[in-house]
Amino acid sequence: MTRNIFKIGIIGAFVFGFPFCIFANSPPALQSFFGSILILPLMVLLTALGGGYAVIRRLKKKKESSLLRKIIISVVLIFISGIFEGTSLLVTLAFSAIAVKRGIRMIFWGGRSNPNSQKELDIIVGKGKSIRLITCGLLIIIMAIGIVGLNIVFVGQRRQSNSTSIIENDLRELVKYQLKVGEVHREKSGVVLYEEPDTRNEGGPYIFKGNYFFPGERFWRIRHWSEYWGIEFTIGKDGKAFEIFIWPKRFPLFPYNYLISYPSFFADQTGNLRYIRVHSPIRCPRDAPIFDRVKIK
Amino acid sequence: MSENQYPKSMNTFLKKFKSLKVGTLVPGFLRSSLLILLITVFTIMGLMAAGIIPYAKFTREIIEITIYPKAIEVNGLYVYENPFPVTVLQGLRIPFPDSPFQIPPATVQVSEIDNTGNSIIRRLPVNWIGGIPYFSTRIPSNGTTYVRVTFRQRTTENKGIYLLKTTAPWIRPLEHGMYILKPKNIKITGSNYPLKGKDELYFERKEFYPLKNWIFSWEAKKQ
Repeated sequence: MTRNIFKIGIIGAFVFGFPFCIFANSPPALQSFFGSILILPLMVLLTALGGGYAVIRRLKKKKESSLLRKIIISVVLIFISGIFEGTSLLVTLAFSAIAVKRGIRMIFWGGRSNPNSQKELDIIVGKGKSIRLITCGLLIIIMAIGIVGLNIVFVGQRRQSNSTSIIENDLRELVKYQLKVGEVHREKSGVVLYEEPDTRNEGGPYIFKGNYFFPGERFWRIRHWSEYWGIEFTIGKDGKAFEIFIWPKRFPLFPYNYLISYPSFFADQTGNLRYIRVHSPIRCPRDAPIFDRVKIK
Repeated sequence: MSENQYPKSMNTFLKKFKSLKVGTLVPGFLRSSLLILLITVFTIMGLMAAGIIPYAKFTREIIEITIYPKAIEVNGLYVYENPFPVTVLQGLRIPFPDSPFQIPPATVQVSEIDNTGNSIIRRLPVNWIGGIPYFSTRIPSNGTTYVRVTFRQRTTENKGIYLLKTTAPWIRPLEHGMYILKPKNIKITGSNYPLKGKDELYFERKEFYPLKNWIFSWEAKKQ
């Protein structure tokens, strides 16, 4: 009776734990440790669906460990994982190891399809249940590895995510500066001209030399993030146009890269800033939608 | 270490812990109650982890919207309080209005700031999942965290929407909300919430449970 209550409760936690999307003013959202709380209920559900518990019950020869102790340990670990992202990953790894072990055992049981065997395990497993055991065992393994991967993805993308708004602000300043340079030339010579990036501009606030923009802090910062962002800055042959491409470089491994997206930017002498959201290092097309416009007057 | 190497008291504790069983620990009539209580705790934690029940209390906000002729810049200060005796990690998302005249921003800047609202303690990474930005903030035990969210949206018409509805996910109303419009070379022409002030227009609410979003309009100043 208590075992059934436990299992129903675990499955209920999974059902109610499914996140809803509610658009609101900074509402609460999915926690990073949601994965650690999801693994065990999913493992229980898939084991029950695969008929794994029927095998486990018959195989247990020694006295089984206390159900209460298992629940207490699980609740404490999940509670700890909700406090820090680092512990969340460790707890998720531990739970997924338990789940993977269960999955492997279920695949092993399902593989023992021998109706003529007299061995106890073969008799217990029986024929006809092997496909369910193997399928659910595989699903448990895929689920456990998938959830661990999710945790790693979000922890590993911290610096790429942190730099995104910085890059957008610096792009604005870069475009603004170029438009000012063009305006200065127009006032002097009547023609709008943009400067090559490796030309020293006496008295100008920003100088590009080699890999550094100095002393302009913002331009240097784009290069500082070169590990995470690619940048291509070109001046047209007649000097009357310029193009800037900035694209994100670091993404999680497939298929996790499709969970997260970053903006890839394009800007030119019109002052229009364009972007698209990408899941891999792709440059923004020149005709992407405009999300903002830089003006110097 | 083998059990022989543990101190005697540890050995005793380990033996008792290993032999912990429901039947010997509690009387029969309490057994099911204890399990039901633990399952309830587990379910509540699951709902919290899913973001359906929040850990923290969302108590106050100050929203400053700077309006340019063709863009709005939102600068929001959000205050979260933790009623628990342990540090919690609260997940949050920043939805944008589904509006044809307000283009979603490319990036959102999120920072944890100090209680003066001026110094940035740390930048919070924002992960865009399904086109919606998500971030987490750590709130100390029985403490308060201040989060600043800044983003800019281009507008194709002279009107804007700021989402105020669905304070419902936070279960309780906002203790205090201040909403300010700062015009830059524009004149505010309308707002569905009545505004006060002269140069900067605002409205303020206490025990605020908004039932409608904030919609405002403007016109460019003639030069």
